[in-house]
Amino acid sequence: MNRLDYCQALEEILRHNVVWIEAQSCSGESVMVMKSGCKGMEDLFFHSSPVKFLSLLSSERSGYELIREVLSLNDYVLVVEGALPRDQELCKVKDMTCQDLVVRLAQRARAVVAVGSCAVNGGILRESGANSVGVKDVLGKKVYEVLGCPASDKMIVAALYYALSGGPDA
Amino acid sequence: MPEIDLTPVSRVEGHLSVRVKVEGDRYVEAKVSGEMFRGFELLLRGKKLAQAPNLVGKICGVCGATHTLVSTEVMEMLMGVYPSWRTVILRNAAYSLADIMYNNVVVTFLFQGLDFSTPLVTEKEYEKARETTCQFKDRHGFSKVSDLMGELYFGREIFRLAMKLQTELRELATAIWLRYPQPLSLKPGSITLRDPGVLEKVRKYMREDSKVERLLYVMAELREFYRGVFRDVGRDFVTYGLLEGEGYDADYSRMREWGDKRYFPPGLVKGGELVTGDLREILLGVEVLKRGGIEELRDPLGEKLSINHPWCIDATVPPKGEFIPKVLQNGISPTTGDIARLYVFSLRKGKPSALEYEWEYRSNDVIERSFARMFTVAILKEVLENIEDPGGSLDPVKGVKYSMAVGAHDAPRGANAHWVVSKDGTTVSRYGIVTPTDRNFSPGGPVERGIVGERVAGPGREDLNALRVVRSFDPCSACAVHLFRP
Repeated sequence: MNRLDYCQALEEILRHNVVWIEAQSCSGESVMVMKSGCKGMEDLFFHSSPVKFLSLLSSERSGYELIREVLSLNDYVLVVEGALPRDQELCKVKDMTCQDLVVRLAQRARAVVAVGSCAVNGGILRESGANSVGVKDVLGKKVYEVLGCPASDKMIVAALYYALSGGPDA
Repeated sequence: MPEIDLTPVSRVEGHLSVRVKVEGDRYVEAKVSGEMFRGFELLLRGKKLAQAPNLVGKICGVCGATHTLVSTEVMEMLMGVYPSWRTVILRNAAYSLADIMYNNVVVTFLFQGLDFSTPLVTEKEYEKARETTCQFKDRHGFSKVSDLMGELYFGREIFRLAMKLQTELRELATAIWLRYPQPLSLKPGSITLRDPGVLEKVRKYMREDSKVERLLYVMAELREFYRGVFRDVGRDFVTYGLLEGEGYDADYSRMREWGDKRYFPPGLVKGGELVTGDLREILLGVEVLKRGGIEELRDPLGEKLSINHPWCIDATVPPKGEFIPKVLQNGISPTTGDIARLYVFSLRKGKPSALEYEWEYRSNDVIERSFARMFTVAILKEVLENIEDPGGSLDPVKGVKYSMAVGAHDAPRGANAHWVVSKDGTTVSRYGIVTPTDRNFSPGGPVERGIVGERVAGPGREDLNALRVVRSFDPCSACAVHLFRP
C-alpha cells in the first residue's frame, strides 16, 4: 500500500474541485486546515487551483455570482462544515436555506464529506434552540464523516483523499 | 437605483448578508444581517456551571479562546476562586498569541488585504499607487505602493508571510492552551501548565521574529496611501480592556480597581471624550433592545438594572432576519475593536508606540481600523519580547462568591461579555452573551453608519468600498447570532 504524507495528500486533493460549505458552523474546521507548512499550499488552496470555496476561505468577490458559479460545477467533492437546523430558516445563504444548498450540491458531487461533529450529527447544536442534525440525516446518499470538535486537519485531509479515490471499492 | 445585494460575503467568518443602495457616487442605504442562528444561551440553560466554559468555546472556531476565557472569568466571580499572578501571566501570553495576534494577522492579510491588492483595487487607485514612492521602503522592501499591492494577493509574498506568521503564532499559543480553538488548559482560578519553559520559548520567538515588523510597515504604507479617503464614523468607542494586570481577583465589588490595571484599560468614549473608565459602569450601561426582559434585577451591589440589560433577559429563538440584536451602550452604538482599544489607551495611558512607530489617532475609517488591527499585533509582540515567568503557585486563591456574575474581556474584534445568573449555585439559570459583532453590526450601528455616505469606488465597482467597510470591522457572525428574545 502506498503511504502518502499530509502534504502529498493535500496536493492531490487540491487537483480537484472542492466545494466547502459552511452551514451552522463556527469555522473551526476551516481554521484547522488554514495552515502553512505544505509546499505550494498557499497557491493551491486559495486561488490558482480549480478549488472553489464558499464563505471563510472564499474567492476575491462576494455576492450571488459565487453561489451560481459553484452550483454550475460538475466535478467536485462537497465538504460540509456545521450542522443543519430542523427549522431551515435558521440557516440561509441568500434566499436558499443551507439545507437546500447542501442537497442541491450533493446531487452532482463525486462524494460528500461531513467535517466536524456538527456536520456529522448536529454536534452540541442538537441540544440548542435550533435542534440541529447532521448532513447524513438530510441526504439519501453516502457521506464520509470526520468527527471531532474541531475535527483534525489531518483527518479531514485523509477523509477527502479517501473520498476522492472512491473509497475501498475503487 | 436598485438595491445591490452583496450576499454571501466572502472573507469574513460565517454567513453575512449585506444589502446597499447607491445614489450618484455614494451609498445611501445599508442593511447588514446575520443569516444563521445557533442558540447557545438555550443550550446552556440548566447546564452545570463548570461545563459552561467548555461549551461556549464552541461558539467560535476563529477566535477560539475568547469565549472560554470570558466564561472562565464569569465562573471565577461566581465561585470565588481567583487565579495567581503566574496563572494570569500565562493566560495573557496565550491570549495575546491567539486569539489576538494570530486573528489580527489572518483578518488583516488573508481577509482584508485582498481588497487592497492589485487585482481588486480600482484602476484609478492603481495608477496613483504606481506614482507613489513608499515611505517605509527600508522596513518592508517595496519601492512603489503598487509593488506592495501586487504582493497582497492570494499566494503572493505578503500573503504567504502572513499565512506563515499566523500558523506559528497559533502553534505557540497551543503550547499554553493545549488545544486551539477551544483551550483545554483554562480552568476557573488556574491553568494547566504542561511545559514550564513555554514563556521562554515565546520570548525567544518574538525576539527573533522579523515578520511582524515587516507586516506592520506594509500596513503603515497603506495607512499613508489611503489617508483621508474613507468615511469617518466618529469618535464613539467602547472597550472592556485586554490582558489582566496584577491584583485581578474577579471580585465584582472591586471590578473598577482590577479593570483599571488591564494592559489595555477599559473605557467608554463619546464624541472623543472619556465618559468612564470604570468597567462596572460600562457593563451596567449595556442594553439589548427588542428582546424584552423577563425579570427586574439589581446588580450585586444593589444598583437597579434596565429591563433590557443582558442579566435580565431570558433566551428564546429570535425572529427571522433579526439574528443580530440591537445593542446600545448608554443609548449610543459606539465602535468596538482595535481602534477603540488604542483610542482609550492613548487617553488613559498616553500614546501607544511599538517597533519604532508611534500611533496617533486620525479617524475612525476603513484604513485606520485596519491599521489599528496590525498595530495591536506590534504592541503585543513587544509585550511578549519581555515576558517573564514570575514563578510561584498555580493554585487558585479563595474569595467572595456571587449568585450572578459577568465576565467581560475584549476579543480581537472588541468588547465581549457573558452575563450569568445561577440561582442554586451549581447550574446555569440564565446565560447571556453580547459579542463585539453584536455591537458593530447592530441595526443602525457602526457598520451600517460606516457604509452610508461612503464613496463608491467606481462604475461597476459598487461592491468594493462597502465590503471594505464590512471587513474593516471584521464581522464574526458565528459569535454574533445567538441572542435572546422574550
